[in-house]
Amino acid sequence: MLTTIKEHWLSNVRGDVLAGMVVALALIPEAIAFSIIAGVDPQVGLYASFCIAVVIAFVGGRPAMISAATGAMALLMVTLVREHGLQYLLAASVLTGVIQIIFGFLKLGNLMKYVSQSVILGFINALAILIFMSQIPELMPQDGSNLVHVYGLVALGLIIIYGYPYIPKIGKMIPSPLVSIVLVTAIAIFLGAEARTINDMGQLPDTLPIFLLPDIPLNLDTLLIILPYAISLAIVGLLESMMTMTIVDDLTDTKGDRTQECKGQGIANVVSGFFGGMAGCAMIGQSIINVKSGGFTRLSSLVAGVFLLLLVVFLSDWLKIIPMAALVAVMVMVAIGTFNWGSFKELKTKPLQSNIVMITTVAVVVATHNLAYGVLIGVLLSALFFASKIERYMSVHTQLDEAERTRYYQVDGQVFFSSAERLIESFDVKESITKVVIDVSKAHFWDVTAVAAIDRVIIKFRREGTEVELIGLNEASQAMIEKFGVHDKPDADQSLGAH
Amino acid sequence: MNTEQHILACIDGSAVTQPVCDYAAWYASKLNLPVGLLHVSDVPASSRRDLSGAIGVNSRQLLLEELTQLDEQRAKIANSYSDALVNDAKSHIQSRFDSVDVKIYQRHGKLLPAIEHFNSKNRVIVMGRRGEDHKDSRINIGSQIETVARASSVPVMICSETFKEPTSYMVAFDGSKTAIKAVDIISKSPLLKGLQGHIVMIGNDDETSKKSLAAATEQLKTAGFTIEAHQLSASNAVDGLLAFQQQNAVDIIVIGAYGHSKLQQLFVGSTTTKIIAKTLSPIILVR
Repeated sequence: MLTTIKEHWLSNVRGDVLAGMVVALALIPEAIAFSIIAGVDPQVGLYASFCIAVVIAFVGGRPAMISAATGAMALLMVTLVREHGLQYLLAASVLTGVIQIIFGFLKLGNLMKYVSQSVILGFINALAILIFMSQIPELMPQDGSNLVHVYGLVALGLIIIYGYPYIPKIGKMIPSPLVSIVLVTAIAIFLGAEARTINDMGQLPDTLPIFLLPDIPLNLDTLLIILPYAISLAIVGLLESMMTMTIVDDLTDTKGDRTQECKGQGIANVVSGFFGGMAGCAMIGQSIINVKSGGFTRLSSLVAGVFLLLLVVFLSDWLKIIPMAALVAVMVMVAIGTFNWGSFKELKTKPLQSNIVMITTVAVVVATHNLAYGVLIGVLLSALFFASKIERYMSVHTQLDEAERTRYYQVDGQVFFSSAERLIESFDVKESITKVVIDVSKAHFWDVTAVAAIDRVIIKFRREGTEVELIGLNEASQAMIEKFGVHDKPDADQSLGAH
Repeated sequence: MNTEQHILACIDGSAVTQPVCDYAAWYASKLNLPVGLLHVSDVPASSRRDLSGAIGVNSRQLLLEELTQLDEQRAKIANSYSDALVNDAKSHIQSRFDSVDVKIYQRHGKLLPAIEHFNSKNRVIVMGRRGEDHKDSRINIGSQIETVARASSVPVMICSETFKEPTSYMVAFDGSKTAIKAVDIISKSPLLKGLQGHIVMIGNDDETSKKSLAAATEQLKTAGFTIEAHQLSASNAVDGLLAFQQQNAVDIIVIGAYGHSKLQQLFVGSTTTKIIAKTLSPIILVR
């Protein structure tokens, strides 16, 4: 056990502490921005990011992955906050956590295998687009801000973020988003720019988070209000966490524990809800920043959380004067960094069907603002496309023995719901002959539709007065029958073939 | 005998590599099995120092590519080091024990999973007292031994720093289930047959213990071992055993290892670990 602690926490102290601090600095603008998306005070997102990052450091299944308040989750909370208020959001966060813990025990993380590469790509791109879109309101005309000033500050922020790392020596020592925020703030104050600041967005934390039960009536009505939100939050949170996990697994060449991560995300959200934070999940952008900065173990996540809280509590007076434009620049960077730009080039080389899956996933998410719907549609489409590909592997060959007035049919390949219709059409039931022999020994019958189809063919032949002989059904239906448990009954042949 | 099995010698390039090879080969020659030379390269994943915190276009793909290249270079160096090491070890064994067949296994990652990968083939695991990580440290016992010994279901031999063909052995006996089981396992193995043997019990001056010592001695004698029973008194079992070993110049200590669970050990301490830490002689831990 001691060796595990050493390996998971202390094998890379210097790298982890530095990376954790970089992540904490990058988390602050994001947590504030996501709180604003959800329509709550910045402190809700900041407390959430602290709680989730710290708790997940201990109970998560993937060292070096960063979890906190996220945009994908914030977008799902908008109507709940608008219609029912913050307390219902906190309760929903707790319920989200409970649902995720249950998902963890049911090992639903393993369902990720049904999510294809194209769906993941669509999810990531949709997420980037959502993050970018969430910043658009800040770029619209508002009271008390001059649009020219706002655009100027955002542009300046982006130039600093992307230009600063190229400065020799110091360029890679201090996080460029931080440099950008500091410089943009200083310039905004110096020039007296008319732009909104964080102070205009709501309360910032001035104390450590404290344990509080959400102030809501504990009855069925409340549950019915928060449950739909909690289910959506739980699913989206786990989806993003599982996808981030795959990315971090690849980057670090190690393997995380999906089931443990589901439970860990759940525990983190329960804790966050009780300490006045919103639900969150793993963050693709922040996790990449963490690995890029040299973070490899759980320590990096812990440092990120703790350092974030220290900064926020002790520097809140300074945070207030940051113009929103500086945060917008950071969020634009996160959106650009999250988007998979290679997917444009790959549109030409990848098969049409996987492009359709990817683009549909993106389109559904952008239309609904709910990543879960996008993934659901994407997975369904992938399955349909797969079925339509496999159904081609079904063919029927036929041969007529004129002397015996007997026609032989040989069925090859995969017979299931999608190829069953074609199977029926392959038989010429109107042919006037004495007997047909159908050999299905080289076919796979995958489902009940397939069995029903062959039944219908036999009935059709019989109604024409043609004698039917079915060969090899036992071998053919083994695949399907394994599932339905008919194969070990001695009368399997008769029950399926006795028409 | 199952020809699939082997004596697994865990080498890491430290000073104990040669004695590990020698003892493994000696063990292998006694049991007429091949030696499996295992070297595990543990190359930690590459880390980098870029604290710019900016993620731009395709940063994920670029980062993955960069980390892959770093890992690739380091792993290639580690691989060629590993190749040189196992080949040296193989020729060392073949120069001294020409009848022993040597198989080479090289893996990446940690030692324990690598040992477990061969679980069904492992007949015995041979390790050095302390490896590369503890070259200069004052600790007498490496960090891997206990981890491996606890996880292993086969005997683990911990070597001394130099090889001397063993002529005598002693079995530490305390009447416990672990000890009785250990005697049973020893009696079924040809390894120690023909060597001068002692079975030693410290304290436990009651009838039951004496009976079980006598029974154990009898079992070994019946199996054809040369063995003498000793009932000694000493204030401390570990010191008593080691004093006996020194006086009689016994080459190998055999103990039934880790009878207690990890939790129990937290309170009572482990005799096994103390013996390993206090002696420099080769030890066979029987599980």
